[in-house]
Amino acid sequence: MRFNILVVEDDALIQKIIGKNLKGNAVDFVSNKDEAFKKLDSKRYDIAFVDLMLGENDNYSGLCVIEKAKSKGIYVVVISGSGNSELINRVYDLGANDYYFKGNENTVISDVLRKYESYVEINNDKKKLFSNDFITTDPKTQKEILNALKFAKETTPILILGDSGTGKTTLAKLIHKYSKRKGNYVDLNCAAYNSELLEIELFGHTKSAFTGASEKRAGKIKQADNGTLFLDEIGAMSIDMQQKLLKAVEEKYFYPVGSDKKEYSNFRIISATLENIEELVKSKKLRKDFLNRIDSVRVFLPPLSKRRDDILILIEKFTESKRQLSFSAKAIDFLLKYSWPGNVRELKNMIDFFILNSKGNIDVVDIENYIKSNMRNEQMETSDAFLNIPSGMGLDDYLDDIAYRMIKKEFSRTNKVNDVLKRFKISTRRFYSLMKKYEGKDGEKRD
Amino acid sequence: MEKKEIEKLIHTVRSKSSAIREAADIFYDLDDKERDEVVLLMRQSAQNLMDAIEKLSEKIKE
Repeated sequence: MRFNILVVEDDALIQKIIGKNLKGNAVDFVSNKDEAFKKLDSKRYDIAFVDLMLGENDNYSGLCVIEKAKSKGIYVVVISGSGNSELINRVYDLGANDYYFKGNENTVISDVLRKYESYVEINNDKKKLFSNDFITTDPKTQKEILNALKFAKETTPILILGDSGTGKTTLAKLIHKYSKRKGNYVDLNCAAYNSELLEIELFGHTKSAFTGASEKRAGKIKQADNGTLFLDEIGAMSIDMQQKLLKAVEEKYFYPVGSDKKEYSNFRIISATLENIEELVKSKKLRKDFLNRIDSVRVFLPPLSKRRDDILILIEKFTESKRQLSFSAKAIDFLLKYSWPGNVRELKNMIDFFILNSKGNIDVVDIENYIKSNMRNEQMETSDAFLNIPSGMGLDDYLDDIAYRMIKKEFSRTNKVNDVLKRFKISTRRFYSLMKKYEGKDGEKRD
Repeated sequence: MEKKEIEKLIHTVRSKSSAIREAADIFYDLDDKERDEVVLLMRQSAQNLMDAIEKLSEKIKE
């Protein structure tokens, strides 16, 4: 894309460097406020690169240029030698889009142009984006989403925070869509696997890496080569796994389970959690260095209870080109006041249920009954995470793995084999064969 | 010693020195004519840098 760009910079050498990096665009250079004002009044620009101090004893007249350029709707990027936080705050208060320190023009300029392309694309799509891809009229939610999408074309890791059902996966998919990365979008819920299985899922494995691994299998990291890897429930990942993943994120290579041969993957990582991220670090469930690596851009998706204006719009969307439902006034009142602990997902599930199972006209009693029965189902479903068997692993091995871990846990509690045998109603032979399989020894007499 | 004046001198030192370094980074991508031009500008920036450092030194002595 070719842009109209104004560079407001008093240093001729920096003008030269910026100009070199903007080759292919229509660029005008000016070196003081008055010339900048004239240009801004006479021509339409897409981007303005603005220095703050324009001249040796200048009193930061670049600030006036920012204000003027923003009033014309121009994307303003400040590149300055000043690192004073008060000044940086002022720049952002005036509406500048980005602030960079001088000294990295050769990399910053191309980053800015990429970011601006995303900015233009997203702004053109804004209406469709919030009425179709991520339905919301809430200004706060829209701002968070636009902030995330601003970085879509970067390789910057993004961390999405928000309760269950607020749209973290939807946003991760949108970021991938706008990234235009050629590779796949690959997602993984870290809470669905124990540490060993998660390692296999993430890094893949060689043939015969473990009993049942009949053939080599690529993990999610490899599958996301040149694409996006979305890791949900990042807080459920063990500390050891975080360390291994940190290395893969930093180095872009990893070792599949059972292999000492490096494999490369140019993946972009997006993570999410519903937990309090600071608490996870404090309680040592999340490594600080790992968090620093995955938390370059942080996005928070508010719960549905904080954007109640979206409820009826979402219902309309969920019933679009499907069987129409009629809600009584009391039912609508209930829907608008309900706390929605399961957020948009809960609302969608409820609407899907009514489309299939209701008589069509919904009263408050129908909603209350649905919520009650849904709560019972949810309690049962929370224990279903173990049903995710990694492909490549046979059912027998998977069940053995679970049996071994249950036995090991019970044994470390009681320290008596007999208690374990009684508790799980298994034979001595079964106990020792599992110990042999996973600990590689015959198993001494433990009682 | 005026904090604001010092800040401005530091600003100049930062921006001139980084400009010279950035120019050196792109030097090999330039054609002969551009190289001549950039070397001239680097010299000028280096002089401005020296002047700013001199002034900074005087300010400290005040």
